[in-house]
Amino acid sequence: MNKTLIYGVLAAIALVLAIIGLSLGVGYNRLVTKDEDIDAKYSQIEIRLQERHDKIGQLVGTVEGLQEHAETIYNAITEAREAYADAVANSDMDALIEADAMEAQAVTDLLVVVEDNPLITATAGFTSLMDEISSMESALAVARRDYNTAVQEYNTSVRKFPTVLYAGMFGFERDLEYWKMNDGADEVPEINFGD
Amino acid sequence: MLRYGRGLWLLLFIIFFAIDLFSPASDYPRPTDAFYVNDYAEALMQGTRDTIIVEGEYLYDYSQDLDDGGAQVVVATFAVDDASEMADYDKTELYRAWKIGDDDMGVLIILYVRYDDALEDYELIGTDIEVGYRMEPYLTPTVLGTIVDDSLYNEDYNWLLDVAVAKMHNDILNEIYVDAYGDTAIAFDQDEYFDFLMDYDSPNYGQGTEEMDTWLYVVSPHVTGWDKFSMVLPYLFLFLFGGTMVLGNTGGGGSSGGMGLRRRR
Repeated sequence: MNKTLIYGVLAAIALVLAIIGLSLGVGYNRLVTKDEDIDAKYSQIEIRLQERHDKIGQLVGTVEGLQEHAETIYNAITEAREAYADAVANSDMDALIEADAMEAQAVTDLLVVVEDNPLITATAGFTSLMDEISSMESALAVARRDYNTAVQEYNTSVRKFPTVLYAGMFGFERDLEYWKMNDGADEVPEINFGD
Repeated sequence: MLRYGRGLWLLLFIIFFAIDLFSPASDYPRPTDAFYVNDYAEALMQGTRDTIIVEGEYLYDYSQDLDDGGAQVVVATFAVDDASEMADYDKTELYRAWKIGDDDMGVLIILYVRYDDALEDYELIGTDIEVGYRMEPYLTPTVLGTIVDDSLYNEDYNWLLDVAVAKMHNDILNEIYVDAYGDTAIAFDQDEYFDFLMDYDSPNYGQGTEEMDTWLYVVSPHVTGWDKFSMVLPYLFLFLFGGTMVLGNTGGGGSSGGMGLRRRR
């Protein structure tokens, strides 16, 4: 066979292998980046949840007489806080999502009770309490959204060609779970201060 | 050879502009070239706009070499018909799109206003404030709530929107200067400020009411990654042939996480 032809075929094979290698390397690095991004976003949710957990404890103490006004809400908050503490202790993501939803619901219920009760709204620091809760829930909603966006980008990448061919080989999960909340549970409570 | 060269440049032009054409458009307006003030509702007087610009530039330069430095305080106004339209604006997304503050050390103040035909003046419908991640310890929701209530919702100041906005801006700056940088606060004198507004003869600062020009935008740090690359390329080509760029204030590259304040009437 013609030497030139052999060299040409070898060069073509080398080029194809180089392209495959490069594609693998770039694809792998991209998945690692996306995976790390998810971890960072997850950490942000954890930070925000911890802040809310701590804040709720302070807030319940701030609202004088809450236990007398709304025993049910008080118990719901206590239960949600315990669920959160257990989820963190067990590093259980599903339990953490559940605890997040419980706390969000408890906060929403608390707002309804607080706004409807003139004795509580007259409490010193009421407006500050509302601002803190509203901002905290807004930050949590952003953290959840960022996390879900990161998961969506990762899942899409893993399922796309050619990544789908080697993602499993490198141990990347195919379908990471989203931070799912019940409908409306992740909405920021609307605080209306009126005129 | 020369003919091939021209053909190559023509091909590059077509490719670059095709990329630019298909680049995703942002849902949010660009910042104005004044950056610190974005008075899209045209609700503020020029004296207030320029005060915000000058104070913003000073704070940014002052804090550059300090711990938690590079702070930027940006003000935007949007015209709305009622408070329900505030929900159309995502303060976090806008903050991130404008990349306010170095290393997340920024504040975005959004004022929602409506023009009252009877009063022939703007009335405040609501306020959104977003603080960058690193600004959160200094401007907590409680602190912001107090500032907003003492300015925008305080009858002593809100008889004129400009005075109330200037008071709020001054108080927010004071919090940053005192808490973040250990400096002293500067008291706000509304009579003095009102006289300043009435006597104000606008110098050559930016108007702060129009979106930044495209050519300025593409060379500013408001677009990242592939979007920036694809937008910059066509203009980079132009710059190669003698174009010069004159860029005023820009965002420091900051991000935020939803912390801040929302108030509505």
